[in-house]
Amino acid sequence: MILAAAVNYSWAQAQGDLAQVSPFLVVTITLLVAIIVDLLLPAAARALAVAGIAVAGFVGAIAAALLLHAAGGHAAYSGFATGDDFAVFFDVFFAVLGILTVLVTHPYLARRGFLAPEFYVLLLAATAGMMVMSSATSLVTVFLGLELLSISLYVMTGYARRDTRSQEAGAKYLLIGGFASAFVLYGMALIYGATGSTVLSVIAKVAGSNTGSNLLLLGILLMGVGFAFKVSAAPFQMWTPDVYEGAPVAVTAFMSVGTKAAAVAIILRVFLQGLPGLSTDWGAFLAFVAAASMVVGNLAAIVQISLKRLLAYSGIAQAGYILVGLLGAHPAGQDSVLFYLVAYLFMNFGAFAVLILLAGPAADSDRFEDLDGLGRRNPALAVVMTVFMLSLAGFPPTAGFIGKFFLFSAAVAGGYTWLVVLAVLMSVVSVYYYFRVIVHIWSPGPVEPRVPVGLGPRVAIAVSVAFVIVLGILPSLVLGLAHLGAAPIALAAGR
Amino acid sequence: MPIGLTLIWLLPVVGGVAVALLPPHFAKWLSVLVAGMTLALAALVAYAFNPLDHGYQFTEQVSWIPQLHADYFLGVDYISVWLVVLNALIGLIAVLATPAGGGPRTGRFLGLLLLMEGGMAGVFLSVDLLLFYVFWEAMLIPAYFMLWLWGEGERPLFASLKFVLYTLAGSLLMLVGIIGVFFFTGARSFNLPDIAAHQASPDIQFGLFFLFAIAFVVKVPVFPFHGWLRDAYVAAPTPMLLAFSGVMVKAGAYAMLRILIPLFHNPSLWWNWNQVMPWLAVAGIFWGALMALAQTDLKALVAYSSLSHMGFIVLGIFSFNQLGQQGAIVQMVNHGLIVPALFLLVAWLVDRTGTRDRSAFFGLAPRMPVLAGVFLVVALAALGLPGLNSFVGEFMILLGAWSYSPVLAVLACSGLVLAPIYMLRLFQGAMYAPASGEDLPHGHAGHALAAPHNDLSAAQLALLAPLVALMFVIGLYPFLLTHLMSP
Repeated sequence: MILAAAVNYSWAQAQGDLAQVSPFLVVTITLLVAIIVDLLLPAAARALAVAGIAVAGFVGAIAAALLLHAAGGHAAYSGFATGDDFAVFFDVFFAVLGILTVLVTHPYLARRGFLAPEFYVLLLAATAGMMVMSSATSLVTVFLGLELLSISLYVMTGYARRDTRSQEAGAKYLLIGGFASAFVLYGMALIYGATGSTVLSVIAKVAGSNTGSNLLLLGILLMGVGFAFKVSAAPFQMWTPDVYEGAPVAVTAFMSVGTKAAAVAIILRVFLQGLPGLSTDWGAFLAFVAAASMVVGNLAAIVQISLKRLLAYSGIAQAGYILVGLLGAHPAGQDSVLFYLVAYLFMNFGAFAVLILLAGPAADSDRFEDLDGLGRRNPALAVVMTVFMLSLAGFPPTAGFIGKFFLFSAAVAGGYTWLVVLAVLMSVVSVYYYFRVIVHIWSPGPVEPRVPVGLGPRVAIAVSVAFVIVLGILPSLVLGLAHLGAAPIALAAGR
Repeated sequence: MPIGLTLIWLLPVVGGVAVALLPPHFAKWLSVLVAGMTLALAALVAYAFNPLDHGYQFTEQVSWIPQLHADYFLGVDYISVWLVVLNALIGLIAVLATPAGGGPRTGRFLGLLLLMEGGMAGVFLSVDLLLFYVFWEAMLIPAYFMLWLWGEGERPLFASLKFVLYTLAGSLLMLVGIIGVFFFTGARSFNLPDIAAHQASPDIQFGLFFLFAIAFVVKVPVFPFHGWLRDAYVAAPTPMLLAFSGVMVKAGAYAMLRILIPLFHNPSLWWNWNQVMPWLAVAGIFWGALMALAQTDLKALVAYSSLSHMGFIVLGIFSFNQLGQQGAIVQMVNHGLIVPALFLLVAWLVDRTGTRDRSAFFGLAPRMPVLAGVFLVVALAALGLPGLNSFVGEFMILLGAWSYSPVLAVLACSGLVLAPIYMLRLFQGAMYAPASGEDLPHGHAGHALAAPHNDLSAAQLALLAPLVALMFVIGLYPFLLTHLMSP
């Protein structure tokens, strides 16, 4: 059947389909251009040039996404991919993440002594993978994106070639990631067996609300386990602290936001759009995972002595909050998840950006003591880091508070009040460890040396902190955009 | 649209940020200016307040998050108007009480002080529940930093973290309550008048009451949720303590009156919460007074006396009649005048003698007659002497409590008996020499003697003057406050 379609595939059709994935296309072309430029330029100029090309590519992707939105995206490639507003929302999200990463990473790579254009090529590839995930409407394309993202990240994690911990983290991530991919693939195979299709809209029709099929349920469970790995939710979170700790902090920053957002995107897409009739089944699974993540993440974060591990466990807990909102009513639940991801992008990336700046030439600054005296050395950086921590802890008037409020109110409306009460109690726990960071920032410590903050990091951090505060005070505009982005999913789920 | 109320909270917030950022040289003067302008604005609002109108006045309403029907909605009514003025007044006194000099550290402290004042003003002005919550939580952040980084004693970090975690455990449950009010009462709004029009069934009210009350009883604090009180009050730096004890804990009592009473008339399922609260209040009156008797640390003594007095306010609120609740409002203002005055006096005593240990100093009155005189007035006001302000409020509360339950009123009255004991014991012990024949406390004579001629300065007296004057004014002419509340 697919073969027959391929035979009759006209150029006009191809153009139409390509237009639907234009942001991905822009990033991929940029990637190829970056590789060629890398070969042509003298060694000294390569890294900066490729960084510039990457930023230009991300900006181009944003422009392409906005054009796509203006033109009205729709299904393409026989239902394998789409250019709907959900995809557009995430394309812009990932492109912004890419730009922020390049801005803060460049001085970091130079300082740590592994500045090389490959890093940006890998970054582009990973972003392209995430964009495939957000626009995938078939299990096959979902897997394609997942692997493109994962393989790029394995390499990036082991990027610090002379650092054994980075190597260890890369190997560990590769092994466990491969394991998770196998779960996803097996689950997909079972679902294909039960429904006879990999296209989500067809699956939705065939599966309906047929809860009796064990094949289907097993497939959902296996796929859910694999996705939970990727979103780093408990009890499948074991890899997260080790990988976050071992990877160069710039990679951790990108990964902590990127993989989480991409995994949430496919959970929304596959479960809500592909299997809306079985929401009680995967709902129970996700509720369990959410509760476990919030408990494990928050409690384990208390005892950490490494900042990266702390943020890893905090990320696990945050994944739990996001899943709470994901279970919420339509469309408020989906809106709130998208809104929270935006908040999470800026507050979590901002926090990591500060750690990136603090990294020394030999190793990342990873201990609480490295923050001591920051309030004296770099008052502005200290204030900003405090804002990010308050936002992660969910204090008003920051994005973290209002985002959590949206998540929780959607979940209450969806009938998950018990989960919200648990989330709230665990948030109290989280205040303890986020405040530990703040305590160290403002504790007495060495007054020298001041950390130099270059233009790129300055812009990235300023943008992040501005969004964290503005989103906290005036959330309605971004909430409106989130509503727009979530509309295709909510529509399909509500049908 | 009038923007008077917005300015009352925005002015200190913007001013606070400016003070923290500008060169420390200007910090003190700029913050006095900001606090003074805020007070003038608040006084203007109180002056223009129409006593015959029982709704919200000077309202400002703009759509804030249209998706959730949350509004930026400010207003004052007869409950909040005096607290807004009190907040501005104590804010100005706290700023004036901050010692100038000290470089950028002082500037940052003043900035935080103003930020806290702005947050508290927002709490009193909000008519929208979500907006209320934002201010409620936001005022915690400056309080935390001041408690920790400028705190006194050995472990201010512990005290500040304990305070924040206690308060947050309560207020995050309130967040669930706010979401619950939105969905379960059918109001689909955060607007207080709208919600009040949608009464939920008693079992829903039971749950929601609990979620809200936990936040408020921790803040007030009501016995037995006062675990943070002693540590936080002892650690708090004096200027911050004025606003903290004088105004911030009132936010809890205010919220009970603003949210619990009108929104949840009948919170009963397994039991009725409304019948639990007055008993906790009376227990707090007793416990606070007994603990005050047992303290040797001056600050801790005042802290526990404050717990006892806040018990009266809660009792008045939960006597469910107009008299008791009016008494509670009057008493909130009274307590907000007395406790800062007490803490200021204590701080000055400590400055002069170098110790907070009550047993360590005595016989100060002959050397510091002015301080002794002012101390006497404030102590008498605190113990409820007729003619001074506290008497009015406590009397109204007890009348209200009597008509609700005579047993409670009697119990509360006997709690009142303990107040003169700890207050007068404190005053006499500190100000006058032990009676002849009693042994001088060994080795402590040095403290009293080390303070020869440093009575209150004119500036310090001027700081206390408005508080003491208002104690007399309200004591002799309570109609000033109550005429706004009478139907």
